[in-house]
Amino acid sequence: MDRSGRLLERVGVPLAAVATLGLLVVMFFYPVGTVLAESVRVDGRFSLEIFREILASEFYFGTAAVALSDPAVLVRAFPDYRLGLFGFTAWQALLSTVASVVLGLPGAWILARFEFPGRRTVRSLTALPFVMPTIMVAIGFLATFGREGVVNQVLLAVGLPRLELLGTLQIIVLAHAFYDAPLIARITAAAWEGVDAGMPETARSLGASRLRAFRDVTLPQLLPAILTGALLTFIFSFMSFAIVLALGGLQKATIEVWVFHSVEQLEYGTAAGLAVLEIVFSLALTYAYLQYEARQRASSAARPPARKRLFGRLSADRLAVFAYGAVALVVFVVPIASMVLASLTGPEGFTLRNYAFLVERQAEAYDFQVKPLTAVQNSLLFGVGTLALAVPMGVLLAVVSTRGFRGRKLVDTLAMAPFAVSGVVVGLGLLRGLVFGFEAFGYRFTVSGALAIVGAHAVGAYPFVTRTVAPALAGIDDSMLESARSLGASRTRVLLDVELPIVVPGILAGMAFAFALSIGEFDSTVILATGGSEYTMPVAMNRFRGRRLGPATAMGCVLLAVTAVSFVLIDRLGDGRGLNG
Amino acid sequence: MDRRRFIQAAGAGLAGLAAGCTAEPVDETPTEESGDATPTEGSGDGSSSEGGSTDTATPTGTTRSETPTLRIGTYGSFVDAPSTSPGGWVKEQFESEYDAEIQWFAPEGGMNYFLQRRQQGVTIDTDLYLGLTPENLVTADTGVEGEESLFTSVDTSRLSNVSNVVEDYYFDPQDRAIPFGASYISLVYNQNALDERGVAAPETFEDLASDPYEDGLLVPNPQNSETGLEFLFWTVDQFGEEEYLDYWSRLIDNGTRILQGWSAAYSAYSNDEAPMVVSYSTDQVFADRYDQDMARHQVGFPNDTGYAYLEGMAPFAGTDQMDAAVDFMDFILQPDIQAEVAQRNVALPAVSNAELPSDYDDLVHEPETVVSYGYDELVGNMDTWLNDWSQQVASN
Repeated sequence: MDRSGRLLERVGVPLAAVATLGLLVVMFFYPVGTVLAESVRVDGRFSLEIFREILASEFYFGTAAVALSDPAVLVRAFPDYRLGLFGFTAWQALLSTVASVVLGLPGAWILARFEFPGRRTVRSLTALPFVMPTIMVAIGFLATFGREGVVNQVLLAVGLPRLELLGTLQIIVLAHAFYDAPLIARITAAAWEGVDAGMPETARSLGASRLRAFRDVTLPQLLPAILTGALLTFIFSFMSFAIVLALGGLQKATIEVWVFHSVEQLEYGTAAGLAVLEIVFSLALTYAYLQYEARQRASSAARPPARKRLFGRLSADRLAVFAYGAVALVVFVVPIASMVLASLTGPEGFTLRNYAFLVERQAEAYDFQVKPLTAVQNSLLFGVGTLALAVPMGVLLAVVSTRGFRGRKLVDTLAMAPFAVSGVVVGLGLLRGLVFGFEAFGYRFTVSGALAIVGAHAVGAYPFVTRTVAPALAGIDDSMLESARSLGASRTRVLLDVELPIVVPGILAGMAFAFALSIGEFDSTVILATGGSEYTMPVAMNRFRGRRLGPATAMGCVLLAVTAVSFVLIDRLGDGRGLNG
Repeated sequence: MDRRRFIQAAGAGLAGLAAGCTAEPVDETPTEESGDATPTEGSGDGSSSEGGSTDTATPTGTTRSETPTLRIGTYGSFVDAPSTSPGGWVKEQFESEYDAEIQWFAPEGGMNYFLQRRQQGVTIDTDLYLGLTPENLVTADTGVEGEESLFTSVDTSRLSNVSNVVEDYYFDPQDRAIPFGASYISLVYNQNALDERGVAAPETFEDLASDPYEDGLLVPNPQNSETGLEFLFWTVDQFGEEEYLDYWSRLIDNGTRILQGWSAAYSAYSNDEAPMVVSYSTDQVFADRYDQDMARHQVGFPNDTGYAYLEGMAPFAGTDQMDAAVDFMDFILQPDIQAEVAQRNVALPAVSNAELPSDYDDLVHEPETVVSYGYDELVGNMDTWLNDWSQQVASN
């Protein structure tokens, strides 16, 4: 075993590293680079003019931009500072992050500390919002929080005034929380399950109050996970585009809306310049976070605490759970239920017509039209393919990030780049660099179709795995590894037998979101599938959007059902292998 | 030159390993890039494939007798909409009448996809574009930056019904784009909701910015919706270049919301978020088909005007299927085909001699005065109008 182990170590790890790097270059750095390069090129020459213009523009940077040339404005305009597009984008991302943490943490607490029927299913389904196409969420949100929505009907019935949320900052923040609070709940719950029961118990036996024990003992161990979730939420909300326009409208535009607008206007330089600034901002934040993460040494659970039964005598914490449950019902369940309801109703009331449409399409569509079942098959296939690539990639990069070497933080930060790059720019890069092709050795190579889609999804998804695994890996007690090695275990052995089992809850959480990302991905997929039959469920849903929204909502519900079942299966698979804590 | 021959590059590096990944010999002088029509030296087979099929790599004399494939670029809903789309029917009809095969191609980016290919120096590989708007054409002509046009004109004497094309629908001064369909941008409003407010149907643009219609209008974002863009142009026409931004600030102050695209706006309208939405004057055709409450599908023409949404077609300049392309254009302008396509596309025909069923005519409303910007008015102005407007709306 040791010989093959050593061989694996000497050949396997570098090989995996090279494959990962190769995939990143072909599917990400090269295509994105070709677009970003336009930000420093004006009339074919190198120039920083675009950045100079953006940074000095009141439209993009508000009062801060004016202050560059006229500092007195800071006094004159006080306190009515204009945020500009960047300021507003960061502001709404910050609010979204706070809302997601506030909504996510109690969820993590319940998932980690209570036992109730269906707990694992609920945990599996936390990744569900991630797969939902914008238009679905918009439909669900309008039916829930709209003028005539469920919430308003309840408010009016009890004599409270109507809420007008469409077009407001609140509904954008709420929609971002809908997507990201479950992510925070899931990542934090995974960490919470790793908190050793002994420590808070010891603290309490030494006379600490429950709150004190939580604050001083439990919270520090959860903080890396919470901050990871918060960082991801901030970056996703910062780069948000479609949901902002669908619910907030152009008056609430983010930078990404302008990246898209600039591309449509063929102003690639401006688009690239804005995208570069987005990247710099997101990666600087990531870097700062990684500095913090590296200092943390969370220990892993030798003895996970027992879960409390949710149903029993009424107590303060059980009451809190039910109160949170009511909020979660309104924010997460009602919008999803509204989507399902929308697919089952027409002007005439209850109808199966929209589902009949899907069946009809399956049977009678022309070759060049989209068939629902093909979309389902493709989505699942690409999802599994994405996992096969993204999990090893993500774990590998997490391992790299915990090894000490110079420039490690830089590698670590760059590994997060797929989250920090504008989706519009990635799409444009894939179109130009891969679909149109690149020239080499006298040939023009074009890359599209199934494998390209899987590659693109894997590149977009592996950071989930890296970020959920790295903190757990960093928390492993070094003395444990040293003793294993001193007892003769190879490094690979240590990795497989000691480190991996500890990080499995993290891997599972990462897998769920990687899979969800693949299933829900639209921008890159639609570009790489153009003209072929590799369309996925979100692409099909987009095609079925017509004057009646029914067919699209039915396809959306198929998407929901298929992914819900997949998530439960993925988690059960983990349980079945004894991989679960 | 054989542009459609794909050689599967098995073993030719990473890219070649994947299905859907191809390698094609680089032509020393791709015609698409060089921008002139004269045969270039070194591409001896350049002219021999004209008019014949280029789909096979077999260099035999029999290629000419094979059925040519006409690849037509268009927008998604023409070939694959959930309700009805003309694509399948058109393909069957055409193929039964002509010895040619239609291959539909509807890339996500629409016309911009082809422009981006050109900008990257990649061959277009498509013969014709169907569904070209005046804005598309201006964008395409601006985007090629003085090089050869993306599109070319056809010999109109081969289009037998061209004399019946409605004169007002022409928008290309260089006569590359031939009109093939139209519809009108209009307001769609919910009479029930307006009744509840106790207000009458809106009659003018000023009405939309007035108190009784507060929080009343939803507009698809002109940045990513042709519908919204033409609505914006409509206001430019009504208020003038100097005043339209003022009008919009009043409109926005009155609670008008600009949502992602037509779908987002229309779905918000359907959910009673607002009593009015910017859409099409064919709205009642759908409402009728699905027995919906007509009060919720009233069509309004503010200032008694409507903006004509014009659709044209033109062959790509590099096509090697010019013959088949002209055949297709002749075919789609025939009165009976025009009538059928209009109904399946829920739009209006481009020719005056197409006979539509009377109930269809009743459901499609037409404005007293048609507004529409032609090519010459749009060129040089279009981007400025949109950019100024966008910055004003999104400033915060």
